[in-house]
Amino acid sequence: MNGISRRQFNAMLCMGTVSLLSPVALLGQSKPKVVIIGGGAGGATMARYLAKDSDGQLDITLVEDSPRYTTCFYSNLYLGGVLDFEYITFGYDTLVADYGINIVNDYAEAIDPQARQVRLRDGATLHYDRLVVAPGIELIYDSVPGYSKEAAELAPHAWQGGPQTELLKQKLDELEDGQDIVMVAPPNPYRCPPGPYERVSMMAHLLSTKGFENSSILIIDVKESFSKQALFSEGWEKHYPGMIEWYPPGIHGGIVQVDAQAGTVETDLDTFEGGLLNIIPAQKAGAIAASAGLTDESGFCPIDAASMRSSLDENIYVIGDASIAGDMPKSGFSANSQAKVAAMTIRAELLSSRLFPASYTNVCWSLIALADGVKVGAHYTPSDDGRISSTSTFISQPGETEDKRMSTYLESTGWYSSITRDMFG
Amino acid sequence: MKTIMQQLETPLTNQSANMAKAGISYGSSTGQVASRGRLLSVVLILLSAGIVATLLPTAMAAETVSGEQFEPGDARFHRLVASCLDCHAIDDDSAGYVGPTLKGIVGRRVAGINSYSYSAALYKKAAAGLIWGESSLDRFLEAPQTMAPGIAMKYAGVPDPDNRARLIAWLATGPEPLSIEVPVAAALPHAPEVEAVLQIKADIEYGEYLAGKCLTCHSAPGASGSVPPIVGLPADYFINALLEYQQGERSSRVMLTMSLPLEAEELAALAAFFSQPAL
Repeated sequence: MNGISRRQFNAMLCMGTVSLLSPVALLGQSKPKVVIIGGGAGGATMARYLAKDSDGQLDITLVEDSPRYTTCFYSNLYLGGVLDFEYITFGYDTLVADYGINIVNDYAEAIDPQARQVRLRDGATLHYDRLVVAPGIELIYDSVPGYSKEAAELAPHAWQGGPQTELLKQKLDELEDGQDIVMVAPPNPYRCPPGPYERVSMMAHLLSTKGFENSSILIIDVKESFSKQALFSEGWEKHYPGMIEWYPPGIHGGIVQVDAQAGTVETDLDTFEGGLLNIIPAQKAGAIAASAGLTDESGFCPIDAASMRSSLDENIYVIGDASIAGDMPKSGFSANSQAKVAAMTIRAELLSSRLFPASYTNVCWSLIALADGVKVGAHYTPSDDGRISSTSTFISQPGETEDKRMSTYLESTGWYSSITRDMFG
Repeated sequence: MKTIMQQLETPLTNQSANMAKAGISYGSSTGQVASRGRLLSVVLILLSAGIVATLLPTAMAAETVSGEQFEPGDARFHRLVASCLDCHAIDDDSAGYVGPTLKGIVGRRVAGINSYSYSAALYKKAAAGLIWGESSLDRFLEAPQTMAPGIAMKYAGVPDPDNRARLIAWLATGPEPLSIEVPVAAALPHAPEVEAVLQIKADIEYGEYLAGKCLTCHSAPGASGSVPPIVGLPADYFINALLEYQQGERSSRVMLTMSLPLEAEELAALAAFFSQPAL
């Protein structure tokens, strides 16, 4: 303390010559309450930005079931043996200690929009002035015939970070040369459009480094084309010749049945057998979104493009994978970007801070092989028709130099270090 | 499990060499000494991560390393030092660092910090009486895993003998923090378009909001792939860089896309926000 001693300072406090109390507290009012459901790329960023920019004037509670968060983005690099599991796993300690955010380690079971309350699994309720719903995705297991939550213990989806990611890694590491991997890739829209194909790349990288010569990776897709297809196809040919086969529905004719126990994926064309099945089913907004009536017939949540406010409830914002964000893909980057716009809007509403125009960004990097990175990205603004629309886009080109690809990969490592800090402090 | 650093050692070196070829021209006066390794590596990576020659026409490479004047082309060495500082402190406070402090390493016996738990491989060397000197450090830094098989330090090594010699010379200074000098706005002549943005009354609150976009990729403290840190950049430098991205004079598809929508008022707001020494 400069100039005065702690004792003097305390004395001054007693005499009432200084006050540390904010005007709101002096009036006996409690701080406006924001509850955030979900501690991923959207929810964690939201919590941190609200706290960082509101000078302690908001009461912020983050409800997250899991004490540690494993990012789904970059988890393919863990599968490929490039990174440790710890590298992609984070805790909420800094958000608590440095940002004063209340972390409630529980599952949000229901929302009462009239009472403005969230009910937790343990029965407790949280009141909110504004609610942020960022639950990520819910898997529609039965979108793949024969697949189920139970089957996912044998044939992991690993499309939500955490135990599933570790399970897939374990099964991948146990694979023997000569055993194939069969992936079922999901229909649009889904979390991380290039993700399944980056995953295949990283699996191939791992098998190559182990010297496997007799294993193949077969992708049974339900789409006729996929994100960064030209780039992946070129890269697979270059780095893993003959190892990866992609079957669009036009070729396999449709998935008849998945048998996780037997390790088979039966299609109209043939029955594919794998020592490892990775089944990524269709997706919808996290369960709480539907139960709270925030979703439309698509299974995702319509929002106002200028704020991420739910089109169906004015006190609720939906960010990240659960939202219908126009041209923006479902990605950690998108969720992080949406959180900042929504946080700014919420502060303006609750604290009368300034409202600025919304705009968003996203970049998806993918690693095809070690040091062979590619990217796709865009800038977005709300358009006249009420959608979030891209204003400019870019994508890596086939045939780029190794230096260029290396530099793209290094960009992604920089991004990962930064976005995780941007989320968790 | 390999770390990124280890896996990328060779390509990184190539990349650094490219950067070194491009030269660095960031630096002019003031002399700001970073006392902590982490902070230092911020600046170092900034220097080595492709902030290149076209920017400041009259600027000189005036960073100094342990008092010695360095020429443009030292980006590679800076990156080497920065990669040490990712894991090692250079003072007594090793909190948050994976490895033991480098303070006083030259002349110290191997595995010489009692409070640190070293790999068995290093205790073996210590039992044999090895001291960290010029030749032992040279052998170690060339290939840590070869000299001390099974060592926990995941670093592939420094293949270039000249770079090893410079690293050892630096370690022998204590090691002292590298003193890095940063540009001062007033010392630089500005292009008219930069000056025009500088003349705008900056809305720093708007800048803070806009900065959220930048910080998705630029909030890590430095050692962050090929993404340079931008917190604390002088306003004129920042504006000039963004204008160059907009005009395609700097080649980055990401930065072209991010910078294109920015109007002059927004550039001014962002520059004012990021020129604050700490956020």
